[in-house]
Amino acid sequence: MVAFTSIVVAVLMRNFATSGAIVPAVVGGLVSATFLGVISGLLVSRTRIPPFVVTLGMLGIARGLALLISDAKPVSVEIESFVSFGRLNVFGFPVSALLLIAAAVALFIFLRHRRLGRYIYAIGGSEESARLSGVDIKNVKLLVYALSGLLTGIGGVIWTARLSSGSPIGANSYELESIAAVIVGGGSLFGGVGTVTGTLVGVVLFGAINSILNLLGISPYWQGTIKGVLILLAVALGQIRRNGRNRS
Amino acid sequence: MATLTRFFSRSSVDTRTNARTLAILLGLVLFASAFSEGVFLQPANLVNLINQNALLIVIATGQLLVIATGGIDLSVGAVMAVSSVMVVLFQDYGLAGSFAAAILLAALFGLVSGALVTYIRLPAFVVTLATMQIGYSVSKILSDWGGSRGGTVYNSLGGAGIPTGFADFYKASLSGIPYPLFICLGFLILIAAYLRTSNGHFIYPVGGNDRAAFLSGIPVGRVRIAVYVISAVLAAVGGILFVARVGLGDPQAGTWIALDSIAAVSIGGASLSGGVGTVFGTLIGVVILSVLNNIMNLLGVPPTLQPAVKGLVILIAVYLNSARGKRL
Repeated sequence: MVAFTSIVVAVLMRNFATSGAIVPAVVGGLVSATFLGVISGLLVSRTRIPPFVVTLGMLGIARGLALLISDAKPVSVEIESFVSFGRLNVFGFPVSALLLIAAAVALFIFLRHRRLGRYIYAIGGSEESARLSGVDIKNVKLLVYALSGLLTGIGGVIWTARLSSGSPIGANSYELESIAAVIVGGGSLFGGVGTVTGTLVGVVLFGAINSILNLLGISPYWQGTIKGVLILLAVALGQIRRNGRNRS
Repeated sequence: MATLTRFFSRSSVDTRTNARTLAILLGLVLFASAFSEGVFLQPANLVNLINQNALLIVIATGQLLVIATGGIDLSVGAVMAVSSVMVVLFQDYGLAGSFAAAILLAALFGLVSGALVTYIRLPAFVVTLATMQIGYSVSKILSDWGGSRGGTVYNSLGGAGIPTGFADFYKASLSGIPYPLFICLGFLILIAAYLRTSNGHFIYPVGGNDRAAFLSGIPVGRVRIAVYVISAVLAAVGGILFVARVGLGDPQAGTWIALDSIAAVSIGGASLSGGVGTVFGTLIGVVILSVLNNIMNLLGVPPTLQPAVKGLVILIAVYLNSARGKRL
């Protein structure tokens, strides 16, 4: 999906190679990413296809579309102001970090203090009880997938700006890494729990591990093993504590 | 035929699901035959089809067992890669020795995943995601150890190559039926038979409701660990088949195989929440995926468009099979 957006943005950029085209290109990328999210959401909420399969199918479709639109080649972006935006610093912070903070704060408020946000946890906790309490399950689910599409779109835009090109085969393991980060941050695959701050901690932890391994000059062959073991340790410790609490 | 399908499935519900999956496959085959002007049904193409997908059939069967317990195994591709490297590196100890080394290491991976899922109750998704990462890393470490700097491995530690008989395995056939097909069928029958043993039969109740299974005296832990070990061992068999087919060990092999095997199991009517799924359905699921790939190549669908078509067909197939199925 990130690859898809990045290609859409880059292709739109190339087609409107004037600096005025940034806004329509970015909006086009975000809209198309959200659109794919809406389709996933419709399939998950209106049919009985399991979400894993829906998004697996969508993974294939998005990557196929990205390859098709781009003719399987990276699309470079030569608009100076867009590329420099990816490297811009505001008050010493990169713009991408500021965008991350903004998105995190917005989601934090949405999940904690808005009724719709609470519905999301309610559905994850017990779909049946949520439905009986009058939550519009189908539309909340649709919204969640659309939001995920939109946020992925933002990720794609940032990615394109940083690399100054769109890549149809890039961002390959992001779907798995994002899930791992959520779990390490205390989310549950069974739904009903998980916080924005926990997820941020998960992502930062991953980033930190990566950069520490590089700084220590650990052989790239060993890095995957160390990362895998650390992830297992992190989730295992959390789970052992939770198991103990449930027993007492 | 009825007894045959009954051996590979369990109940009339399973049989109906399998009938629907078969119907999808039949439609696909008819379409393929009609639009490829007969090329699809030519023996050469069918042999090719089997050779390309033998290892996916074996690995998807292991995936089915894990999914039937309500788990998931994302590490199959990585375990296959590790095994392919092991087989080549340990050629000095003969074919049997190298197979044993690959299978033992794979079983260790399965044991670790299974123990973490069972005893610490970690979600299978996370555990196998981590073991997948570890697997791809270990395969590179092994390749580096063998002097190939993390790249593809052609020679054993002692410098020996792959014996020609092994490399010719994929070219050989018994009266027109390629050897890999026998291997697949052998493993399918073995797993279908395992599902008839008490340990194997308990897989379904464990996946359906593990608390109830536990209270009924089913050894839930043993059943669970067993499926991860079996899945890893079958992935190792996939790695051995991979070496036989391409003649090298590849530490990056099989990145697509975890998702493809899960897709095949789902198309075959299994539920990702566990408790449902048959060997027969999974076989048809793999065949649907492989026929689809084959048709797209025959019809000249550009490779750029192929993942999109595949994604679409997975969605449609699972939709058709889930319409009256169990809600996830």
